[in-house]
Amino acid sequence: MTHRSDAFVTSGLCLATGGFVLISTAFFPETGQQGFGQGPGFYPDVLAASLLILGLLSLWFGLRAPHPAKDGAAVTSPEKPRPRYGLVCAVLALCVAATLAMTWAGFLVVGFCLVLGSALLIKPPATLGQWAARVIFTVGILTVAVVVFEYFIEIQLPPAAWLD
Amino acid sequence: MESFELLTAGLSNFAEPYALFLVVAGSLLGILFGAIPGLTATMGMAIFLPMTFAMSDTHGILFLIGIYVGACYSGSLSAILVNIPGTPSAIATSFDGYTMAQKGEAGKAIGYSTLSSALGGLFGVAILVFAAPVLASFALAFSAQEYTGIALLGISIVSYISFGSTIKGLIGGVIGLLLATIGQDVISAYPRFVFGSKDLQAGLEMIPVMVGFFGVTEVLVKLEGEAKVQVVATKIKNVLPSWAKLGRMSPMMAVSSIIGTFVGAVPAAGGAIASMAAYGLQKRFSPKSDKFGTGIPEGVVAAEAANNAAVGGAFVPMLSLGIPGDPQTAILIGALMINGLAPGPLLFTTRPDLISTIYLGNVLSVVVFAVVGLSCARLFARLLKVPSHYLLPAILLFCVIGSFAIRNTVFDIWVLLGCGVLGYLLQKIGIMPAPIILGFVLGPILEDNFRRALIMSDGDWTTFLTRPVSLALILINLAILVGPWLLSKARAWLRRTAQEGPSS
Repeated sequence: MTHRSDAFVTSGLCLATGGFVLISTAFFPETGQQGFGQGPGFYPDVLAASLLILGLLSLWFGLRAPHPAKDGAAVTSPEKPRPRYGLVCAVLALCVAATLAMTWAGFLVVGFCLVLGSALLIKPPATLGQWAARVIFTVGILTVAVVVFEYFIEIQLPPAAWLD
Repeated sequence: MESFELLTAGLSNFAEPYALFLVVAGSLLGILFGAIPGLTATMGMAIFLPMTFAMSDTHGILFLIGIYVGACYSGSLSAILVNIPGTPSAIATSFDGYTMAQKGEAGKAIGYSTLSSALGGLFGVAILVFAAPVLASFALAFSAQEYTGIALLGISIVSYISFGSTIKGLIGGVIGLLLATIGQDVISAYPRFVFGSKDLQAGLEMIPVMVGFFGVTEVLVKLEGEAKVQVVATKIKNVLPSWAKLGRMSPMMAVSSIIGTFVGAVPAAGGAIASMAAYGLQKRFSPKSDKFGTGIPEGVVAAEAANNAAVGGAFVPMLSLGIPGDPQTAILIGALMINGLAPGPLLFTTRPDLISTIYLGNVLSVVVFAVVGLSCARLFARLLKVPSHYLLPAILLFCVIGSFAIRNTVFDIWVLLGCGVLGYLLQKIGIMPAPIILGFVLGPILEDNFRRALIMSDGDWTTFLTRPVSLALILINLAILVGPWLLSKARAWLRRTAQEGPSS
């Protein structure tokens, strides 16, 4: 991302967040005469105003930052590997699906799918041995988690609702 | 309370084997987390913080201190063996440590790193024992105005030193402060930004937010990129340096420890700044100045003594003022708050045993990592090769469990994922998680004291200027935020004037 686009995104975020907070707090009650100080909206308003100022400052400094070379000369920089946004989205989608299914399916099933699914997505196995290694690892890490949290620390992990 | 009494008040806590087990287990886990590139002390503490929920306050703190101290040391192992610092505080160690490993002196580098970390860590605790009660007694005179200034100081400093611009750091801090306003207002109990959700009425829980920003965000960043880890193919031998060489290094270790402790005591500074400052200063004034960076033990010693001394230093503002010295102590504050304890000067009088436990836990953790580091150096080289398709799913699983365990509600897992995604997107525009989390931790302190100060003064803002300590803190805040920019403008103007002078 260039300095300018970075500045626009940052200031846009600040203006949007600050504006949202100011609009929301406009509906908060005023408690000025009741011994509660300036009311519940006062402090968020101060923060929102700070965010708006910071957003404008970020835009100001970003627009004043020096431009990259304009004379047509190639700007050489080392080749960076392409970011794997697809993998990030896939793992996030898996996490969301696991959380949605947690109450119904329970921790063991969801945890198994989450760990094995992530391991398969990050590095797809090429041989049967690699498949087996990932399954064994998943079972192992789930066993450790259950032993540590349910038996050692005594925190009950979500049971499966369909078993009730 | 006398320093000696404070040091011994918690001795009885170590009489039970379980407490000793927790310190050793925490230290080993910390060494693991610090040594593996991609895992950090902060992540380790955040992930295991939920486990302390079922422990007593002293046991939970001991366990987390073990992780903290162990990880601060072991970041040097991957810095030396693969030139990837395991923790930010080991960046300076890689300058000379990796070069030593390439010359076949990996064992020696690990030995110097372990011993200087141990001595630096013990020095930091010694300063902590004497400095914290003094600062705490001073802080008892503070009122709401002063605490407002101190909370702002923490955010200002972390903004100034955070990666990227100061403005981005401040934006992160304010975002963290805003996240802390979700839920019931502390003074009027009015629900803010809850959007009709019963789960949000109590606000966001600290653990899912911390684990989300420090754990899930890091996992997503690692997934996006691909880092190949090349371990230095060398035999690790001759780990323990001779007494004569250690003796020659002692003055350097002492100076680096002093620098590390005092830098670590600055709120939000941390081991990374401490080790860089010590390395830079030692390089400047050492007789071997031109050899720094070429693979000399002095480079490793300068950095490592400072980064572990900074641990003791970071506890000073945490215990005496209730302000985190770095993100790790922010998590420790979270652990204390989970147990209904408020860190700050009153803790010295209400819970001297806990203060003593913290001191002694630090010392014990240093001993553990020194013994493990010197005897298990060869094993660590193998640990660094854990593939990411095993490591990252395991981290995700523990993040999910940890977030669920606090209130046994799936809602906290959604908070975890939300914060993880938010942290990932924000770091794309240069807003790092550390200022956000510090803002979140300091938010209740800042709001409570800020509003109380205004209520006490009937809405008169000059109350922050009429009290000397409060005014001094405001001026320090301004100096930190605006000072460097003004200085650079002044230097540019002077340069322009000097150039125009001779030509005219």
